[in-house]
Amino acid sequence: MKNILFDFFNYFVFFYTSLLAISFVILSFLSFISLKTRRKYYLESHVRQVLNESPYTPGVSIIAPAFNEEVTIVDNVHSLLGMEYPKFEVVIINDGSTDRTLEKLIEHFDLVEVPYAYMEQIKTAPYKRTLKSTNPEYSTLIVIDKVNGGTKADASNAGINVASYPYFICTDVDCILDKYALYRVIWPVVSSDKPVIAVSGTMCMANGCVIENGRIVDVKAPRSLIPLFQNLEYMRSFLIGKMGWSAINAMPNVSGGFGLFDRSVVIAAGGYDGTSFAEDMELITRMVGYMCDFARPYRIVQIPDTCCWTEGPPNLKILNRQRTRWGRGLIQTLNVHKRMIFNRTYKHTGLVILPYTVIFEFLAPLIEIGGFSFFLYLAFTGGVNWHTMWIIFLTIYLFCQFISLIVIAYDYYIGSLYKRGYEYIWIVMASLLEPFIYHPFITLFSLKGYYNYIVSRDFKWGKMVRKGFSKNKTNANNEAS
Amino acid sequence: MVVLFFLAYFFLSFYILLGVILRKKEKKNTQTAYDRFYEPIVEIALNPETLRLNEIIASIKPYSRKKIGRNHKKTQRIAFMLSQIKGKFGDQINKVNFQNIQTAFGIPQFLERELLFGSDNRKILALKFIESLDAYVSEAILIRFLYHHNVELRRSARCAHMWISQTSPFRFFEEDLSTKLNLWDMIEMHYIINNRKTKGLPIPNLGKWANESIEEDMKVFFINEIKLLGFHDNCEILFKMIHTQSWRVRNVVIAALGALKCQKTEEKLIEMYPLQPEHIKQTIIQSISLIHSGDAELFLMSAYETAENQHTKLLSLDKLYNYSEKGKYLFEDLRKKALYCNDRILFEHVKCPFINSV
Repeated sequence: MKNILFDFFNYFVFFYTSLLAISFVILSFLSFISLKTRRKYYLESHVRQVLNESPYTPGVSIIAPAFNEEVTIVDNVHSLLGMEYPKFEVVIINDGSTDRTLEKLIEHFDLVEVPYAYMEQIKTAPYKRTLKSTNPEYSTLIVIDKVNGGTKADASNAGINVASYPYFICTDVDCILDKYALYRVIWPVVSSDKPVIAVSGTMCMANGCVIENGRIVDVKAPRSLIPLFQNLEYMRSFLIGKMGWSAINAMPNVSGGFGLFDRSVVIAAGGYDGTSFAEDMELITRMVGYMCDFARPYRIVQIPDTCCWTEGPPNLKILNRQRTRWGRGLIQTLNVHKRMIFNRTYKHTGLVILPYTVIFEFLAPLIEIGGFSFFLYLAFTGGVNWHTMWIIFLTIYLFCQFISLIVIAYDYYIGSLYKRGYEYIWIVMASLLEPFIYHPFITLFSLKGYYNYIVSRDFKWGKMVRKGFSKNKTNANNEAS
Repeated sequence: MVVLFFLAYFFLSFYILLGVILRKKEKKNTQTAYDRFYEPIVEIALNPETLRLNEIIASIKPYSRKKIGRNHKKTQRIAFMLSQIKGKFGDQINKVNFQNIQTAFGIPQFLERELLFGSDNRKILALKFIESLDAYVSEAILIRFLYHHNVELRRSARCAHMWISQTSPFRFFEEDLSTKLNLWDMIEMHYIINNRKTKGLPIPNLGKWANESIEEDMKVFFINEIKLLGFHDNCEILFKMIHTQSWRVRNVVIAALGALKCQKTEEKLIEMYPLQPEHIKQTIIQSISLIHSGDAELFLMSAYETAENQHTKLLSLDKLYNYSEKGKYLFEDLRKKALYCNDRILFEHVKCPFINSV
């Protein structure tokens, strides 16, 4: 019986790992197709020139919830208002801040309370008031003051209620957007033959970058370990994972840090779920559900251009909080939408993405910890064939490095994020160390998230410690860490 | 397996290293081109005085060590630079000087070479440069791509043909009445038609195609163009289409009639208003406000009173308030009668000067 169990486990792990490796290779290939298609036809200066003059250009509302962001709020709103695009507005939601966030906005942007006809199309925590600037220079700024709803989702919903354009971008107020991000993100919407309901832009870590007046002027890899690992993880996720899924219209998720959405579809699908711990993934799953239920064609697209820089968790404590929440959100979303799994009605999402997420994302930490415990047991009982173990270990390790190098190669292919070659040495270093230092923590945090969900432990959002990107020339890494 | 991954790893490492070296070289060359040519090109392009080709060549020559226009990579870099300059300075550019700059750098020959011998992707890029730079290539070169099996190449070629053709720029409107359009097609075609209008070139009557197109996208595009270009002659055709079955087409027809200020439509719009879906009701209110016959205050007032949708209420109040003095008076009258908080806020919203008009 013991031997049968051992054999079963061996074969299970072998097939599981092989399938995972094959899926990565397929995704890399699909991603390359997406990147190639994107690079072929896109002449950015021409697109900007034509969109600037066209009455057909769709308007975009930038929605940025703010909770206790007094250090960064003024610079970041300036940065958002300085975006280049012919038709856009900036909606800031003060989500019941207890510091001077709102006062700083009022003082700096000459805001006054206006009798705004707020129409609650999506339910949120109580709305208090709307503020607009008396200065015509800031006529595109609108600030919503509301009672704290406890989640970013609730604040974003208030922003969606106020947004006046057909598309909106949901971002964090501390994110730094590329000046031309709106042109890049609207391109798939205007150039697609099918209605595009969401577009995801690539995000990177701002830790390490040089920032001037709320704009990234020099892109550098983070110099501290945790953000560096995260940067590699983001590159892998956006350039291989999401670009690959995007090629077959099976995007699992549009990041909460930067994503463009069709406002009418979001409202029809019910907006962000304020009770979700992974509101971005949950919203996309629900939007897909809505479109498939009504048999409407749709596309969700990932673009390779870096549109947004965000300050990543600088230490393990904050990373723990973030990843525990993601783990909890993953199991919650899968539980809520379990009827979609293996359901033909939901096309790629039901037949590919959700089963893939269950098998290779949800189960992965459980299998990893199970496998590691089993290995320890065998090591102590003398059941390990060390020669074979080293071969398997090296194969898997080199495969991981191979994927990381593919990411770097793709980054070069699309026009390299980092302008200095040696920045990539940092990324390669991170890739060499990641499986031993970073990955075990991520696995543990995910398991902790599952556990918290199962025992229904109380959840507090906590505060992401930010020092902010100063108005003058700053190295974000020095400040964040 | 391990050996295989070792090999793959080293192959990729080598590829990336090669990429770093090539990228550095490319970056250096691009920077050199910018350092040499950007300032003089901008200076010539923004010069209000029209310069002769010889003068332009003479002023560019000191910056160039080798003969320009022969090397594909170099000319492509210049083409990208010119595209950026055109995008940045737009209308400030002296068009004749800009054309002469292109001739001096051999851009037309470069584009022709790309179209004749380049891969499909390079052809598409060259076609996009034609529009972006307002460049010229022989119409005969484009003809072969107008019915190409590669959809993207065909689309780009048709747009470029519409851009440069002196003989029959709109021939595809006749042929493609059943073509589906995406928003970018509409944006690009509008850009081309508008450019022709700015240059004083003739634009055909779009009304016939608006009426005859089979595909809804094409209908919508032509109706929108009639509205944007202000073709008042087409009011009659649009008026006949007002009861069309498709809501999308009906919506744009009503919007176009409003923008064209077709007075006789007002009565018809008021008559059909109660039976329309909400978004068409909102378009009717906007059109009535644009037609501005001077007698529609009572309609706008009743639109407010009968509306069940808050957006429609807000829109009708906004249009009533900005319609006329009588409209303002009726607005105040309604404000006094408003009982509920939800309704009263709409009046305050409309009157607030800091809130953008609906």
